[in-house]
Amino acid sequence: MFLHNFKYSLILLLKNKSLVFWTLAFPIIMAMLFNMAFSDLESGDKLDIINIAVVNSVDFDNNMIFKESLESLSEGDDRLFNISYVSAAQAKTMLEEKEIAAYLSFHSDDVKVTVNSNGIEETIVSYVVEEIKSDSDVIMDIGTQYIQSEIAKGNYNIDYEKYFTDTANDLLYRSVNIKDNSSSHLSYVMIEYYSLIAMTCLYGGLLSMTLINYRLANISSVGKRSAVSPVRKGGMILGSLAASFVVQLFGLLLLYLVMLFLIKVDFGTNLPFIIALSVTGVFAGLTFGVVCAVLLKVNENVKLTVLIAATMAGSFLSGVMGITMKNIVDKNVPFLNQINPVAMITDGLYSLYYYETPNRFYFDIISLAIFSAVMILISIRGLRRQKYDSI
Amino acid sequence: MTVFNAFLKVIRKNIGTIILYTVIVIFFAAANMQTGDNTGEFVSEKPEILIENHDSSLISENLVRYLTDNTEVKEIRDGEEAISDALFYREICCVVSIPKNYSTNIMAGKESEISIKATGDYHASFVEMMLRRYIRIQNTYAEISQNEKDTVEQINSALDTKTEIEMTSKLDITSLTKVKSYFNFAAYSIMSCIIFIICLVLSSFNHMPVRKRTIISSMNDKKYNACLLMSSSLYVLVVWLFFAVLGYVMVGNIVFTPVGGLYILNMLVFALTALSLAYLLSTVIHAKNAITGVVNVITLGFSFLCGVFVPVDYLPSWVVSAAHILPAYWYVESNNRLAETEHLNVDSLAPIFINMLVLVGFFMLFAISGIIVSKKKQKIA
Repeated sequence: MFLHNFKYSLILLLKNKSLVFWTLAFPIIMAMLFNMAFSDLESGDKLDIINIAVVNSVDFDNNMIFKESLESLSEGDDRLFNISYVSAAQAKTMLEEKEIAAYLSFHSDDVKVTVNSNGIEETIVSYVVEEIKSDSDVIMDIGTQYIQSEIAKGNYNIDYEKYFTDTANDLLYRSVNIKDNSSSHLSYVMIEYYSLIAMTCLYGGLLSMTLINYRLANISSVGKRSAVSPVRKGGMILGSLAASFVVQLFGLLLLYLVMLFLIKVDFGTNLPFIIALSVTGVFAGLTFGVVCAVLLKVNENVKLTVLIAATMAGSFLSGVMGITMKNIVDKNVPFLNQINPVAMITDGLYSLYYYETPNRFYFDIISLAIFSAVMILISIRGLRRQKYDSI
Repeated sequence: MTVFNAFLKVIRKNIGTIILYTVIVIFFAAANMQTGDNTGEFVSEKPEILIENHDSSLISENLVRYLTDNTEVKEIRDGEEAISDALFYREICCVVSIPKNYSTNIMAGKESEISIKATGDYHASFVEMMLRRYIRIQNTYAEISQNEKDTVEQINSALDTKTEIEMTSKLDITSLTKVKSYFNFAAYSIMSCIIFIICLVLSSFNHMPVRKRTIISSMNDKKYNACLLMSSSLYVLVVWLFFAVLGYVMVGNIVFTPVGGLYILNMLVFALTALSLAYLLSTVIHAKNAITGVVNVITLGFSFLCGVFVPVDYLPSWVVSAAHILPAYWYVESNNRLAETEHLNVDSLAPIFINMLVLVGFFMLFAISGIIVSKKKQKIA
């Protein structure tokens, strides 16, 4: 009976075009859209070469420190600036047309930065100009201190030019060691893909709900016939659940293949843990679908709406529509995401990607297993010993 | 009136969907509305960082003070994992860690490395620039100074330089960004509300038994089509007005300025384009289940690819090029231009009206295609 029911449940599911679309095709379409929209999102955030202009003038030509510093900042592949040396009118036009972030103009010893708006590039330009000015002051300060001390010692034979050049080289080319302990797994776009996987797992509930509706006498004619037939109801339900499980796992596998080979999503290296989480996630989704089918004493469409709305709400809280939301909920209302299966799956994948130790992953997968167990208990309570005198 | 009543009935049945899309636009627009006053003066960006100072000395505290002055220092008290999460979710861009005995080593001329954990974005690079500048000056003075106090004084005096910065644009960028965000996000909700409902209504009328009854009824075909067109247009106008009023609630009086008027006009042209697209779709899709899927794919596709959800500047260039064939791109392009328009004149308005003309072109294309398809399908056996 189990196999018979399993076979026909599979046929039922695969013939339902709407279900196939929402559980198999829609997540893949979403993943492709994410890929198109987000592929440049993070590289656009990285420090890039900033275009600036310098207004040509005699004052600029005479300002050796700025001239040399700006030249060295605009040389090589790792340069900070692309500099155009232009007239004041040209610089103004370039700024208005957003070809440059800022332009510098020199008036005697002073420099003025002109920008069109506030922003990080404009801030960096003004900061670098300040830095060059302060470097110049430091060189003068150290030089003056040295000269004063030499004169105090009675030494009047000082090679000023050599001393200032040495001091400038010492300050400007002094090596600064900063130890960079940054993680190489910092791509926040991954959360979007993880929450999409989590959402897909929960969408599996649509499959189990559809099949359970076929077994409920108060919902469908097939349910009425099943109820009066002399077959074990447990076997029938298990067959339906197994079919939903296989279809949903297949859908998830397709999504993983698209993400891994087309989109190149980074899931970390722990494959057995990812498989364990995915299987548990799909199971949680199916059990949630069964609970919605059993507990809600309403028609099929309303059940469907409730399941989709609950899944969408869970996905929203776990970051499918913007990763900030997951962090906000985790920080301010952690309880919400601790009972949210979509967040458990998302967080599990996130912890495998970002953290080196699996403690957080264990917490997530155990939470998910508990969620599924609770759903099963509720379903058993709702499904067993259903009897109708008249329907 | 019968047609109009049927329209109202479908809307009443789907009021939940309309509310859902309204809530989405409110949420997204609100989430993207930065606060802050625009004084017309330049304000430096302040990256958000976390400092772990394991040294207690004048030099390390001076570094902390310098960073505090130039960045937004956050405090996260929930342990290592919370700090790592904050870094991942870009709540902070950098964690700066000052080691033990930092000051003693610096004054003795020994190596003492500051360590950082950074996100690698613009802001993190800026923090690293600050640190490098500070450490260069600090190490230079530490070599020639006698004690910590002198070193700190000299560092501070060296860092106390200011540059004159002039800002040319007098645009109220903050308000205009708010308006732009709202109207861009509204595209998703407008498309969903219009295409979904109109497709549902038209599919109800195109449902074969209903269609057959309509054809053999005494109602003139032209009158029937005119009724449908009137009701649909009225619905689109109501949706447009609703989102315009919501715009006033979300972004304030700026919608009553000439620029605000152009935003609203652009929204009207886009809403009408969505109507004609809905008409075309309704001629090819009849199953109600399929409508939900197709509408979702179309609205989400347009939104992701045309700069509604992700700003155009962050989209890959090939996606932007491809998006030119979608109407939402031209709508968003006009909104983005309006946010940067300082003076309304022929030069600044011409591209916006050209974009609107492109939308009108899409309107005609969808409408004509819809008519051709429906004519072909009119013959019912």
